[in-house]
Amino acid sequence: MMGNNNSDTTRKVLFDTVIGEHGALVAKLCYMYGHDDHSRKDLYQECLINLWEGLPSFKGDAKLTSWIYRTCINTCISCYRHNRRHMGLVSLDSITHPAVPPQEDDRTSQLQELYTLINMLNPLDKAIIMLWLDEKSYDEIAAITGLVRNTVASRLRRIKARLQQLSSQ
Amino acid sequence: MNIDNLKDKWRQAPPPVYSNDGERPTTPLGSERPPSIRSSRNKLARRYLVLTIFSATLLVCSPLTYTSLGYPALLTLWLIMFLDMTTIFNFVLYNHIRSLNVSRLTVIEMIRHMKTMTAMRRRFRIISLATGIPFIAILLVYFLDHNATATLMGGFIGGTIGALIGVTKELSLRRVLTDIEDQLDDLSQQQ
Repeated sequence: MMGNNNSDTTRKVLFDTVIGEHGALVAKLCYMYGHDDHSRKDLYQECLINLWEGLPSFKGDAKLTSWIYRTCINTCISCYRHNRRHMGLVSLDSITHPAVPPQEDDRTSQLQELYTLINMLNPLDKAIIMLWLDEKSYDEIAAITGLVRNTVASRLRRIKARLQQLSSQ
Repeated sequence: MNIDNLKDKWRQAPPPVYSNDGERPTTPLGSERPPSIRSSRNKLARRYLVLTIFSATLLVCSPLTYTSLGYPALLTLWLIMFLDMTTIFNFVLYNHIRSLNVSRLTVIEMIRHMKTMTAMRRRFRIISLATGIPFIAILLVYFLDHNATATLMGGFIGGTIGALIGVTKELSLRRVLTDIEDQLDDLSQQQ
């Protein structure tokens, strides 16, 4: 009984850390995988529930952020069927509620464009480019996605080329 | 657009907002998770468990259609075969969904699971349609023989609507499966 209380407390503390320190990361992932406000909120709730349920299996052998990425990306991919029909489309919500607050700054508008372009990629490519943008090493990306390190590198080159191509269209 | 130059900006960007008033999604959990909140994966697994129990109960009761209702033996045998398969299919899907652990799997493993799961659901639906349609046909012939016109019409309309829904779902599953297969094919070519 005492042991149960202790593990529950540890779980709650860890969960609070996840939400407090990495809530923004979860929100960003859900923003990229959802197609409108409603689906993004649903994904966010779904990710939190899966993070809570997965906490007992987190042994600390990987970085906490890597584990959060893995859980959230897998959660978003498991909702793929629901979001699939909207893939490749830019939702009105992303125009009326841009991810980045509008500013008179060229890099900010480029970042908003990047969000829009990443939204057009398939779920795996989306995961790889987001991990790379968040400064994850090739080894970490390989561990999260299950790809070989060399494949990560070549895949990234292709994704960047595709984004450039989409941007110039 | 130079993507490499946007890395810093990406990391420094505030988390996305989901509406004009800057609202962010709230946590359903806080520190204490109410016991009634379940992930959609668990809800789906429970749905298949309920379907398994339901079809198993019907399976146990199905001989009554012959002994008490006086339906032809062929109809009862077909019903037993149909419910047998439905029970097994629902249980297999329940077991598959329950065994998924999203915090342990890599992204590729998750996509492969999605593919297996979608293919399995599609296969099961095709087999159910293939066995269900002859069953309904036998049932309709039986009603026709017994001049039960209203029941016949009801059965016919129900069967047609059911078949249409089944075919629509099948087409949707096939599109999802093609999408997932394309992604995995692309990967295997690269590796």
